Amino acid sequence: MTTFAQNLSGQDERPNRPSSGALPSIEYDLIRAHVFASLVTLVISVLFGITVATKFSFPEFLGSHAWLTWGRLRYNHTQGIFFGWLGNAFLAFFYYAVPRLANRPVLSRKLGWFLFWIWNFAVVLSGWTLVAAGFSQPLEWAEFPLVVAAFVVLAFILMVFEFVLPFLKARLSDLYVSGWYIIGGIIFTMLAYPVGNVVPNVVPGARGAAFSGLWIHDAVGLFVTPFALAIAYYVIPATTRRPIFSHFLSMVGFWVLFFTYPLNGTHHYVYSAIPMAAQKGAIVASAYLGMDVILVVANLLLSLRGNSGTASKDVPLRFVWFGVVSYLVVSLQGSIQALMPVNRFIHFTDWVIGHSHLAMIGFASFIALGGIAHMWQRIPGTRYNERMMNWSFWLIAIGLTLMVTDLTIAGLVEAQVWQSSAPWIDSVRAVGSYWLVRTLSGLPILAGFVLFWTALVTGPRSETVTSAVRPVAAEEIVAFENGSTASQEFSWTGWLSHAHVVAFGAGVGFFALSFLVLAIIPGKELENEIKQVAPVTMATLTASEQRGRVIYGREGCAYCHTEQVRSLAADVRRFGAPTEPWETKYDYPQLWGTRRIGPDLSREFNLRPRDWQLTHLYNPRLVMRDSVMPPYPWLFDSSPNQPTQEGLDVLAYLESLGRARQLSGFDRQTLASTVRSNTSEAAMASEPLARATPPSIPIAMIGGYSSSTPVLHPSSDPNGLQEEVNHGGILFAANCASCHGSAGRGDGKASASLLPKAANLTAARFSDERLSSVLWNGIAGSAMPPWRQLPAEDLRALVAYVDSLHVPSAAPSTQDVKNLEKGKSLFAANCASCHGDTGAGNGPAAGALAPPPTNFHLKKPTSERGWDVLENGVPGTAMPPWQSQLSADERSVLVEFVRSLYGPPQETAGQ
Amino acid sequence: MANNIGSDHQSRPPIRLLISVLLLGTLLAWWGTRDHRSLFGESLREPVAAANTALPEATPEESVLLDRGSQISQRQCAGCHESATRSSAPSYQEIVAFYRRGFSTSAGNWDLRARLASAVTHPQPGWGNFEPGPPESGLSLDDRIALASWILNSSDQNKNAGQGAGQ
Repeated sequence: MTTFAQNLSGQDERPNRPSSGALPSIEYDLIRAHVFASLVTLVISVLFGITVATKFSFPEFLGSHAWLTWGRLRYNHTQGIFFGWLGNAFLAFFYYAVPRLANRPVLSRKLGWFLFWIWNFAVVLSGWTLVAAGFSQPLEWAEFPLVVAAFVVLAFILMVFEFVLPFLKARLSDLYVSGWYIIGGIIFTMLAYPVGNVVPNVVPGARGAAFSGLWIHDAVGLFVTPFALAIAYYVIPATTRRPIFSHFLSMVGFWVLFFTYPLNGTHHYVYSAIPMAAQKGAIVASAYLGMDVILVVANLLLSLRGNSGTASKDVPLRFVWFGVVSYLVVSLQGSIQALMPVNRFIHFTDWVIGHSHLAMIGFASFIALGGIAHMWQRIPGTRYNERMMNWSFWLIAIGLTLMVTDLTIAGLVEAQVWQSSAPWIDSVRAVGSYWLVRTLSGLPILAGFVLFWTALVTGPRSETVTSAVRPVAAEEIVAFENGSTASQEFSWTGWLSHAHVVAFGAGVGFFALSFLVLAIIPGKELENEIKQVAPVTMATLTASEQRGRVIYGREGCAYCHTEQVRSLAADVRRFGAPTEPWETKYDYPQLWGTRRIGPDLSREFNLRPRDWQLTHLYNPRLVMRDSVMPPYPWLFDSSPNQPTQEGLDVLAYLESLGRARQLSGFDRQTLASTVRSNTSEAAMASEPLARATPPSIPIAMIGGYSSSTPVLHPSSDPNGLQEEVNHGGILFAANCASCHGSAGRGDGKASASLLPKAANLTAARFSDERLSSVLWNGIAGSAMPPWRQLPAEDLRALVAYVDSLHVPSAAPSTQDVKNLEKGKSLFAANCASCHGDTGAGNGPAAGALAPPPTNFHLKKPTSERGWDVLENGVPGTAMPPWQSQLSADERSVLVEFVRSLYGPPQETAGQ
Repeated sequence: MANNIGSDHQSRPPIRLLISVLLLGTLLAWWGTRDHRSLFGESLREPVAAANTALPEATPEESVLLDRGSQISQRQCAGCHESATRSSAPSYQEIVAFYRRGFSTSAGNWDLRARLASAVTHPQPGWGNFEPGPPESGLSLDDRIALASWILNSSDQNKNAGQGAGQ
């Protein structure tokens, strides 16, 4: 005990330092209230999370109510963890630790209860309700609407009075490290929170994203981290009764952390339109941050040396130890994933989701749980149940390890698919089983949290509560001295541990520095560039598009779909030209997004037909069997054909994405020539033709014709053919059956709301040329997309399968020459203006029609189909019904004539 | 408890740890901020702002060229184009920014000048939503190179002048 005695005697000059047990009072009721609130919100937030995770595997699960939808629950999951769980847990710890560290009570008990009510009812509860009701803002870690944000800011201001003021008043010459983290964290977050919430609403697009990016990281780095570290720095010496390993490391750790953390934010937008200098600055800061965490964690773990027995016996300490180790792992992971060569692959994948769960559960929650359990043993009248506490630790630890491992691997799998030319849906299919494991891994975590709660309320009641306010036990204070030898050695750094220096340096100073360096300066640069480059005539969003944008944000679309193409070949090849700052000129607030579960949407203009979009929005699985996107039936009047105004607004917004760029002609520059065609990714393509599309133009669903369509002939060998047909059948079921029906009759689930309807593939014989062309290019003006991302052998198998659907009629039709002559003249009189003189679909009017008129040399309808078309027309195309113009005889003659055209054209007028 | 036994030695390991950790961080930061796109067989442009670096000074023999370019611009282009502000046609700065895209800075000024020289005839009318310019300027290749040099030089000077005024 010599060190403690020395320390105590060395601190005599401290004001109010008691020599006996007369210590500052502590608000035990507030601690208990906040612990209770934290655990209630924790369990609710985890339930939100598990529901959200379940929707990945069962997209229809609880899918028909707007407030139970993926987007809104996800907002409530993260905000609940942030404000409800961690916020309350930290507040409880402040009431416990601040009086001990500052040697003064907190400012006021009344203020404390006021803060409690604001925090839990004006922030958490009303925030959840408003988000569920559809009043949210689509900004990460700022999803609660601005009304709620105002209360958050108020709460932080009150926290400054309640917790920081005692430190400032105490004028301690040598404040313990936990105190620095509490002061710095409260001041910094009080300043950063409003900036991250308000500025992106008034500063558009890329410039707003620079601010958003900062706040995304500040939320974790300067709210969660400092308070969790304050707990770790508190619990470890308090349990081991030994001072922390090195005062010097505490000090370096703290100041470097507060300097580098705020400079991290832009690493969420690497290869984006934000100036490269800002991106690289953030990456450098991220690298050093991880290194600083090595120092912090080394300091904490070295403080435990020789105490492994205590750590394994004392469950709160074990929670904290696990949290500290997770902190090291998650920070080093963070440093590495911010580096450009790594980030380009793993960004937007589940890897990052694993990372954030490791940070929020592994680091922050474990330490917060440890802190609560530690307090619980030292508050009068409360003790936890040792056995349950122990079980709780193992359940959460196992669940978390499983979840993080699973998501990390899932992220790598997604990254690999995204680098290839495989269709987007393949990446969703590839990680389906990982998502299921992730959901299951949430169950032990939830059980662990519930058990923790139970442990707190079922502990042995050895002591009855006599008074709400009790003095601090004297011996606890002794551990919180900064190591005496170290303080002497580095006496010149003593001023760094003053409360005022921490508040104004780490809190105010570094806040101002980070927003200046990473938001204001790049923002100015972007503003100038936008002024110079943006087309003068760039149109703002229409009222409908603007409303659609709000709905898009409200439903959380931006959490699965990015609206930014990074300047990377894989992105450009898949989605189109990289997003430029000027394109985001009117985006209030930015919706760039940091995760891609679905594809990027920033080049959606002119990409897909409206009927497809609406059907897909109504229920994505109508057109895409394996999609995990939530259905949005409340934007429709019970049918995809009948969108409400809101549905139309969303459609209008989707169709406006990328419009400014296409209309401005920016893409006419020779971007194609600057992307080398012999990229390494090209080697993955199954044949050179797969690269024929210019990389700057995404493969559009309509109008994206490629001149180099290959003709895919199925195998001539019967065994090979059978194999291809079987393979094609599997592909057809996965990709085509949702529209064309499982038997290809054009009666799939989506066919009801598509116009023109999906083709009945059994009602005509198609040539290989026709099928290849449709698979390669899609059909303009219809919902048929191009499938040229599929490997050539898959396309060939599909051709073989569709060929096999057509059963030639046993009795050949009577093709009498006289009838054919009559048919020819009827055709010339009525049909040739669109279908062309020779029936090749190239009449003078054909150019303006989408879908184009049928080329009868490549498609031979069955008699029934021909008859049906002449009678009823083809809804959704330019083909009218001929019932009133032509007699039944004439029509049957025409059908015979048209069927006779199949095969190579007589003249070479052709295509 | 032997807490003060190791305390004399405590100060040294932390400093060593600090130094080695900072070195490692520097290494990571250096590796992580290099443009690895060439490593992956890509040569995509960087975001526009990052590519805007200063152009080299004009050599003496170029000054003749610049004079000639200046004259031509006064005679044939000044009706629509201005150096830094948008009028009925894009500003020269904007034009340079437009054609600079896709050129890494190391490719130098010459490629860009060749590109601009061919742009004098308005080969991509309508970008930026301006009215298309006249396609046939009646200029020889030499004239066009002179004009391109002048445009590059003046847009650079404007930038430098702006910076000078700022200081």
